[in-house]
Order: sequence, then structure tokens, then C-alpha cells
Amino acid sequence: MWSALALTTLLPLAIAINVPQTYINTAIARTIELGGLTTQITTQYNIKPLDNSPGEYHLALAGENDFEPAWWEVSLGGKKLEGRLLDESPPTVAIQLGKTKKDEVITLSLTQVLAHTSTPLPAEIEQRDSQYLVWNTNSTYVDSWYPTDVERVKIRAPHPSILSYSSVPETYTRDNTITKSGGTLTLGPFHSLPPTLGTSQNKIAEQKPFSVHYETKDPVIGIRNLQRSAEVSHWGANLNIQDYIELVNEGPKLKGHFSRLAHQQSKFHASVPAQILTGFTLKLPPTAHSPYYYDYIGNVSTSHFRQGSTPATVQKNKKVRTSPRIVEGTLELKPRYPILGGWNYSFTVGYDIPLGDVLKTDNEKNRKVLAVPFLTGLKDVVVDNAELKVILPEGASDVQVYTPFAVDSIEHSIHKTYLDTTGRYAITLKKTQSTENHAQNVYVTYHYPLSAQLQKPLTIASLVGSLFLLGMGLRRVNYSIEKK
Amino acid sequence: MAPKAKSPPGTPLKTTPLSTPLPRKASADILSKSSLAVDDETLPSGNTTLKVRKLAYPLPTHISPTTINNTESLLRFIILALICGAAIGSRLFAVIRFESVIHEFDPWFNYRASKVLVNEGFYEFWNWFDPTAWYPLGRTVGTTLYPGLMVTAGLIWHFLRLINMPVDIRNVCVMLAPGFAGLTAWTTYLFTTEMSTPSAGLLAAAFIGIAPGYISRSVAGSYDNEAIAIFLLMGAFYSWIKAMKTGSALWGMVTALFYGWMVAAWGGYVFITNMIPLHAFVLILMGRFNNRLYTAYSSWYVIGTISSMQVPFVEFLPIRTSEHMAALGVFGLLQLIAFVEIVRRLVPGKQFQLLLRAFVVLVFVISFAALVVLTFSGWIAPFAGRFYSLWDTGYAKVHMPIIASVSEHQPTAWPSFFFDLEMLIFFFPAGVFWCFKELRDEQIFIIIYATLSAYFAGVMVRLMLVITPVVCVAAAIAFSKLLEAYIDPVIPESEEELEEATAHQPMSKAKAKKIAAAQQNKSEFNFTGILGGKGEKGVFGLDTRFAVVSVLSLFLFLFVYHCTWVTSSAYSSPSVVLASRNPDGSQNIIDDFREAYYWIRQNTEKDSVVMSWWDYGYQIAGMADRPTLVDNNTWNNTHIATVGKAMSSNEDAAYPILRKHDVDYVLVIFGGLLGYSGDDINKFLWMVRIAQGEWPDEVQEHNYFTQRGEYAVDERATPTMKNSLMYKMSYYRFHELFGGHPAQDRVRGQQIPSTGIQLDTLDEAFTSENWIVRIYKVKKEDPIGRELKAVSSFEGGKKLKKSASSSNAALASGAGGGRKSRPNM
Repeated sequence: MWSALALTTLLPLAIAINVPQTYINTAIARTIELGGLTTQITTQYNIKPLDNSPGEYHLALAGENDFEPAWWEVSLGGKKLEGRLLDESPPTVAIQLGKTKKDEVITLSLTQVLAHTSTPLPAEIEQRDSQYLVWNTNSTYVDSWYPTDVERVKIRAPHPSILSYSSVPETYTRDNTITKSGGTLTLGPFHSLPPTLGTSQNKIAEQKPFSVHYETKDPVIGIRNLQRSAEVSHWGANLNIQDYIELVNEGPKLKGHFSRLAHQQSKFHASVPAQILTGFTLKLPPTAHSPYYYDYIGNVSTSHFRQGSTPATVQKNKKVRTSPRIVEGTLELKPRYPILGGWNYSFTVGYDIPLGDVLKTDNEKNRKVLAVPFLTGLKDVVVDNAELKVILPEGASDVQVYTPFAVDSIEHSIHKTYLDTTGRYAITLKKTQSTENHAQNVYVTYHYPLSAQLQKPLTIASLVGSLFLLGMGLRRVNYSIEKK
Repeated sequence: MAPKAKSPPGTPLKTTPLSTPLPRKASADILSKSSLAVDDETLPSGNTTLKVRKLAYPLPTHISPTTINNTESLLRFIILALICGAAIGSRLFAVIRFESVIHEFDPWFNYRASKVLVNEGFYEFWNWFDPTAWYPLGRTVGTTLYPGLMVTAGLIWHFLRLINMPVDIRNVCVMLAPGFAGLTAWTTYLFTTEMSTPSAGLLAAAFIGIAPGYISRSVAGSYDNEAIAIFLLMGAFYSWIKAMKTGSALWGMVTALFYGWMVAAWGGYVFITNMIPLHAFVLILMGRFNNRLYTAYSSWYVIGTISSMQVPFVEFLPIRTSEHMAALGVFGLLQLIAFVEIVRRLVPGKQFQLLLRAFVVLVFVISFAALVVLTFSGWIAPFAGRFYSLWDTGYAKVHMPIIASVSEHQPTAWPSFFFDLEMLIFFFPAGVFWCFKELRDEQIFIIIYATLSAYFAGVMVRLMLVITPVVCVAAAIAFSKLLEAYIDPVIPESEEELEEATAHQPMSKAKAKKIAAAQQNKSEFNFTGILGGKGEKGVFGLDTRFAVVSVLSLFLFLFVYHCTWVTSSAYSSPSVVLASRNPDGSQNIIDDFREAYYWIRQNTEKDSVVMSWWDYGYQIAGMADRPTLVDNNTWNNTHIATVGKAMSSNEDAAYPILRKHDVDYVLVIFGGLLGYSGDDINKFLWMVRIAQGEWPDEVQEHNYFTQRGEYAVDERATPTMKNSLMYKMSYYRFHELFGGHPAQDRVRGQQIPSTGIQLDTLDEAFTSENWIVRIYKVKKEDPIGRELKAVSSFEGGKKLKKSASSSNAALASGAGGGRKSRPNM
């Protein structure tokens, strides 16, 4: 397998991979949930090996010339499967299915999140107009390296009003091509579909682009930049999380100008147009406390925080809550001004978490294990550039990072802040195109001896002490030019 | 007194009496020599007493003087530290109530300049040309500001960075004023200690720490020149007194350094420039010239002037303007006198001395005449306009409406003296009186300072700040004298007892001495009672002491209460953020200014030019980061008048002005919905007046008043008013908000007519939540060359009629195709 990997990396990319036709898809059912900036796709593959030792199953994540989805996961019977992503176009995962027999049907399921697949149409609307998006894909059929017996694709729009959609060629359909019921479109079923990918030796089904023009009732929000810094303090037993967020309303741009009068009237009638973002809610960890919310010119007073609770905290002060569940903290944020189409708003949000909740000590190896959430998920929001900077306490050494997904870069650096002498160890992780699904913990392990913990108090104490000594000495010197 | 003067034979009468009326040290010396003295040193006031003293209340005995001294200095240190803490703490209302935010208008510019300093370095700051201010002229900021404040903040910031304390520059700026207020308390303590006793010093420090007159300019977030200036003022005065008393060139140099820092920090440095020479001059006139004065003054003047000339904004002013001539003149006079003194010492002969005196007077007169000639020939600039307005309070209103339009340049109302200084204003004359009574060199300083600043404070509200320190010092002196007299436990002897004592103890040196002193004083003017300060006169009973001391303490408590209340209610509003109460009592924060400024910052083109009245210029530059036409640095009257004209003219006349200045957005402040009284309609008359000053034919104030002379915005408003750009922008679509009900303007309490206002040349771009800030976008010329009025009536579906607009507008918009469009848009 290593040689195969080496071979694929060595070979020029122009030569497409040759996938041995050892499998057949007996049925594929795909559901596409349209949203604002993201599209959720879940696909069920019923596959059947044609051979007793069929090797890896090649699962195509996207069509020819398409990019890898922002997020994907393959699972078999509810268990997550690790795949090997090939360095090829189209993006493909090679999956080891273990021991399989001939004609045994296996059900794989693939979850994908695509980013920036919908664009506003019309691109400019007036303040009170409703907003429509058009969703485009290059693949009408599910991309696959193997032939498929039956295939069905469902597209669900967030709202029943679908203005238009493109047509599907009747090549593989028997009775109906597209059925529309409410906000759901069903394509197919398609029968006896040849593989859509592969070398030209086989018969290949030709992919056609497909688009849906639909209405959405939620503002289309994108985050251009998210810079999170997580600062660990062992003395304060605290993990401070601070996010700098550059938010953009990616919906149709505002035509003309914003009228406060119209906005207040629509608020009065409780019919604020869908494109306007007036506030949003962040889910914080249950024990998060002391949140703050400010922007470049100061504190934003319009926020509300409801602290979460865990069973442990409930036991401590029973008066507050009675439910023994874990309740997440909620931070309701209201921007300074309503964010209309095309408007920007950048701000900073931060909060503290007790260190005990996110830091564990591995006593055997004498190491600390820290869990830092990569980002705070917002539904249907794509973060174009996410950055996480974990700042460890001064004196931490032997640092290792474990990420739950691949990131673009990991940098190690030194960060100097409050009264540091040698500086703190900092790790910067960067990733493009993150979604709600990337709101997972990044684990950092490090060695942190007691001497490092005492470093700062001792340094400062000795410095201040020597200053006093110096003062005492200088006080006893006579500076007078004349001798007394 | 006469009977007491009967001294027994053998008493050494020829002992020279003490010349200064502070017999404490001398008498203590005598007492310690005599075996009769017991524990006199324990008393802070140290009045001369005899062995057999009656005490109103018992004092602990058998405490060694060293212990007492050490305890005293420790207590003094602790008290001073607590005073500094209180001074800082009472300035934090705004931070605790709102947040760490820069206040008001000017501080926003200072903050912005500080950011340039720390982000781009000192030389960039020094040479900073700001193209975004006074568009399209720009402003050479580096040479038109007092850099002291920013440099101070920058140094603190760099120091904190050096010890790895990366504090945001904003927090340094916000906390600078409270921090320096703590230092001011400390320097005031030192200054007052020089004048009187350390206990008076502590009182003065406590007073200045919490006096509202000073707090009004130095709350956290009020990042303005005054924030550090009062510290520098007191520092300079303290070191001047020190230099004058010791004759040390070192202290003279310290004075000069404080002065140099002050020049770099605040335009009010002219006060020191005139105060110190005046003090020296008065001392000379009183015949108190000596070498110490000569050394102190000369070292201060030379080093101070050179250091002040390092500030680009000041440069050659110290030798070219009238305000600085007094210092130069006194410097020259001192040289002459010193020269004459030397010659007189060497050359005896009365006639020669007379000649020399004549010479001094002649030189003085000639140089004064030269000064006058130079001033009139224009080589030395006459006094600046603001300076004249100090003498003639009506001057500014006639000649400089911009200066007169600023509320802090108005004459002070009488209640504000009490509001800002409370009981101190009553104790202040008493303290000055005490200074008169002792009249040492340094106390003359207090007298001059008190006289001058009392006048200035009456002329301009802003200068309340200058009087506050001297009021605190003088009041503290009076207060501590009172307290000393009434806390002192010694009961004076009644006359019979005294005579008895004289008879029984003929050998008491101390007593004899005192009697001798009393005899000596007999010829002078003497006060009776406690004002006389003599030992045998004083307070008898414990009840009197208790009554007076408790009333004084009550005064002090009320003072603290008053100061806290004033600070909390009047001086701690950032004015960028407004607070109100919800019906349920919770605080509701009105944040319209920042909402609008942040909207501009985030959602307009980076080079959009924003036009607003000059009050908001610094805030727009600081928070919205966009070019502005005019700002709070009101250096160009014409430019401000242009904006005033655009605001007060009708659309046809205003549009060409807007287009010629590349204005993209116009911002107005409108308080009618919320009842925010500091809005543009209320400032409108000043815009009209300032515009009228430049274009008396086009803008006339009387056109904005109704026939009956009222300033109305309702039905009665004149057509000129109703058609003015300001009126239209303020009330555009306002009546629609009331859904058919009469539209009420809550500031002026008038009903706005519900006839719709039509704007042809502007589009409403943004209005903040409570309608306080309204932003309009200026339309570009119509692409096919129509007039904008015609365009809007065409789009409104009306019949196109021949519009009778002024030829002015036709020129501007009709020739739209031929006009040069803006290069970078």
C-alpha cells in the first residue's frame, strides 16, 4: 500500500487513476438540503462487491473539476470510517471495507457539506423584497466510479417557493424525471446508470449541470475571517477564548439605501425582511462565563448572556436550575446596526472557561492535555479563513497538537505578554472553508513542570526586591557637591 | 498687653526677637534647653507653653520624639497614598458605568494622534500630514498640536511594553487623566507644604483630589491636554517656589523642565509664562530682590525658553509674541538689578547709586518702548484673539463667532463656582488672608496666583480649571489653621494665673522671651483672639473645641458628598454614549453615535468624504475613519463658514458646494425623536452666524426667525428655514414615524408640519436607531444632464414643468457632462 501511495504521488496528475471495476452500486439515495451559504448532502450507497477480494472502494466526493467539499464524513452502519484521500482530481477517497464477500450488500453513508454553492439572484434587491438564491451543481447524477442500478436524488429547499429549476435528460429515467412537492424536488429515479467518472474505455454517463432558484427566509451570513485566540492560565485556572470575527451579509446586495423608518415599521409589524440580520445567538460551552462583546470603537451593549449549567454545577447551587441536563450557555448578540445585504460588521467576542473542564493531566506521562474548540459553530455559515492560536503558559514544553480534521498549516511561535520573560509557546492553526461541522476540539498536549509555574512569581518578586534594595542604597548616598 | 510686659529684673531682654511670626522652632529650641520642657515637641502646632500647662484633654506621655516623627511620616505617606487612590477612584465613574471609552470630541483626536505615534513611530507622528482632515486642504498635524499629551501616553505605553505588559493604547489614554490626577494631589501636597504645614498640604491634596472643578476635565476617558496640564502646572509652581527659596539652579532647571513639558502639553502654559515673571516682579518691587531669586529666575527662563522652543507649534513664539514679553522683560530687569547690586557693593557713594537707579529705570523704559514699537511695527505679534476675549468678554461674539460658539468659552455663571468648588470657595479668601498675614516670598505667589486666576475664572468657564488648584491650596491653609487652633489641647492661662506664674517663676527664660516677643510685636498691627496666634490667647473649654471641630468635620463630609455627587451626575458622561432608564429602572444605553460611525466605517468607501458640523469632525475621523471637511481644530474660519453656508442654504445653492468639495455623505445630529438637546437644529443659528460672517449677502440670520422673532421649526418656520438643507435633513420623513398623529419634536416642543419634505439632491443613506444620527448620500449629477429636481419629479411621476431654480444650480448640474469628475472615485 505504501508503494502504491508513493507511486500515485510520484506520477504526474494528468494521468487519471484507473479504478478497477470490482464493485457495483445497487442503489444510491441522495438528499440535498439547500441553505444559505452551505449545502448539506447525505448520500446512502448500497454497494455490492463483484469479487471476493475487491480491494478498496473508491468513493468520489465531487465531480470532475470540482473542489473537495468543505466537510465530509463516511460511515458504515453508524461508525465513522477512515478513508485515504487521493491526490487526484476529482477528489476521491479510497476506503478499506475489510473482509467482504462477493454479492454481500454493504451500506455506506456519506455526509458532505458544500460551501458557497448558492448565489443570490437577483444580486440586488430593495430593503423589503424577499431574497432568492440560485443553487448550482455540475453533477445532476451522483458522482461515482462504479455503475449504479437505481439512483434517486432529493433536493430540499428551505421554503416551498421554488421559482425555477433546470431539467434532467431522460436518458436513464423510465417514467418521471422530476417531481416537485412543496419545497422538495425529486430527480429520477435513474436506472442502470453507468459510472460518471473513469477512463474513456468504459461507457460513461454524461453529467449535466443542474440549478434550483429558491427563496430563503434566513439571512445569508458569511464570515470572511475568524481569528480565535485561546489563552491558558494555570494560575488563574482559566481558558480565555476570544474570537475576532469579520461578518458579511452575503445575500443579495441592498439596492438604493437603508430606510430606518421602513425598518422600524416592519419591526413593529413583526415582519422584518429575511435578508436583514438583526441578531444571532452563539452557543457557548456550559461552564463558560464572563462573556464580552466589543468592536473597534468600544463595547457593544446590546447582548444578553444566559449561562449554561452542568449536573455538577446544578448540585452546587440547587436554587438556580433543577434540570440535571447539560445546558449550553447562550450568548445573544445584536450588532450595532441591522446588517443588510452586502454590509459588513466586524467585532470581537470572548469568554472564559474554567480550566478544569478543558484540561486533563496524564499522570503517567506527566503531561497536560488541553482541549480547545476550533470554532463556535453557527448554522449555515461558512468561515472563509479560520485561525486558531493556542497560547500555552510560560514554560510549557514538548508540545504536540492533534486535530480532528486536516488543517492548512500549523505554526509554532513564541508569544510575549503580561510580564513574561521567556515568552509563551503559541501554536497557530489555519484553515480555509470551515463550517459548523468543524466546531470540534483540537487537542494540545504539553509538559508543564512546577518550576515553570513558579517562574513568573519568583522573577517578579526578585525584580521588585532588587528595586527596593537599590532604592535603599541610593538613599544612603550623599550627592552633594560640597562636603558637609 | 501692657501689664504683662512688666518683666522681672535679670531677664535677658536683649535677646533679638524673632523676625518671622513663626516662633515654633526657636521656642522649641529654647524649651529643650530649659529643664522645664517636657513634651512640647509632640504638638504639631508647637505653641510656646510653660511647664504647668492645662490641657483640654489628656495627651499620651513618654513617647519618644523619634517614634512620633516616624509615625508622623508613615501616616503622612499612607494618607497621601489613600488620597491618590481616592483621586483616581472618583474619576472612574464613567469606566464602571459604561466602559473604557474615550470621551467627547477633542479626546478622540488626541487618541487618534496617539495611535499614530505608537503605531508608526515618533518621526511619522512629528511629520504627520493628515490628508483626511479639512478636506481637501489637509492638516499638518505635527506642527499644529501640542504633542506633550500624546508623547506622555506613548512613553507610558512603550514602558509597559518594555516590561512585557502589552496594554492597549486606548486603555493608557483612558487612564492617563486619573493617574495624573493622583500625581497632582502629590505635587499639591508638596506645594502647600512649602506654603504652610504638612497638615495643610494633606488637606490641599485631598481637596484637589476630589474637587469637581478639576475632575470635570480629568475623568477617565477625558484624554485631553488638561489631563496632564494641572499636574505640570503644580509641578512647575512647586519647583519654582523651591528654587526661589533655596536659590538652587538645580530646582530652577526642574522648573524649566516642568515648564517645557507644560508648553508641549497645553496652550495654557502662557499662564506659567506670566505667573512666574509677575511673582519675580512683585518681589523686586517689594524690595525683596536677592541672589536666590536671580539664580532661580535666570535658570528657569533660559532653559525653559529654549525647551519651549523645541515644540514645533511654539517655535519662535517666546520671542515674538506679546504674551511672552513679560518673561523676557523681567529677565532683563533682573540682569540689570543684579548688575547694579554688584556695582553698588563695589562703588560707594550715594550719588552714584542714584545714577544707577536712574539708569535702571531708563533702560526699563527704553526697552518697554522698544517693545511697543516692535509690536506696532509687526515684528512682535500682538495678543491673539482668544487673549483679547479675556479682557473684553464681548470681543469674541463680535469678531470671532466660532470661539464664542463654544460653550466652554462662555463667561462663568456664579453658581458654577459653588458647584465646582463647594465650601472651598468660602475658605479661599480666608486662606489668601493668611498668606497676607505671613507674607513670605512664597505666600506672595499664592496671592498673585489667586488674584489672577479669580479674574480668569470669572471670564471663561474653561478657566475654572486654573483657579481650582489655588483655591484648594488657600482653603487648605485656612482650614488647617482653624483645625490647628481648635485641636490644640493647650488651655491658655487666664490673666491672673499668668501674673501669679510670673511672680513665682522669675527665672523662666521661655516666658521672658515670649514677653519680649510680645513687646516687640506691640508696635505692629496685631490681631486679637486666635488670629493673633499668641500662646496666651486661645480656646478655653472643651465644648468650644468640640463644636468648632465637629462643624468643620461636617463641612468636610458635605464636601466629599457634594464632590462625589457632582462627579457622578455631571462630569462622568462620555457624551459618546448616552444612558437612560427603562420603565423598569434598568439602564438603557443609547449608542446611536457609535452605531452610525461604525456603519460608516464598515460600509462606505474608504475615501468617502463626510460633511458635518465641525463638532463631530474629530469623532468621525476617530471612529468612522473617513475624511471630513471641518473638525474641532477650528483653524480655517472660511472652511467652516462654507459648511455653515451649505447647511443653511436651500438645496439649489448647497448642491454645488457639496459637489465642489467632493462630499459623499452629509451627517446631521437630530435629537427631536429622543429629546437630545445638543443636536444640530439647536446649533443651527451658529452655523448661520458663522456663514453670515463670510457671506453677509447670501445668508442672513434674521431670515431664520419668524416675524415675531421666534426660532421656530413648526408651521410658523420661515421659508428660508424650511428650505434650508439642515432643516430638510433633520425632519426628512420624520412625520411618517408618527403614523398620522402630529409629529412632535421633543427638544423644541413643537409640532412638525406633516407636509412631506422632498430631497432632490440627497438620498437618505442611514439613520441610527433613535434617529440621533442621520446620514445622507449626495447624489451624483444626472448622467443625461437633467437637473436633479427634474429627475426626482420625473421619477415621482409628476409632470415635467419648467423649473424656476436658480441659474446657479443650472450651471452646476446642467453642465454636468463637462465638469471634471472626481479623480479617484
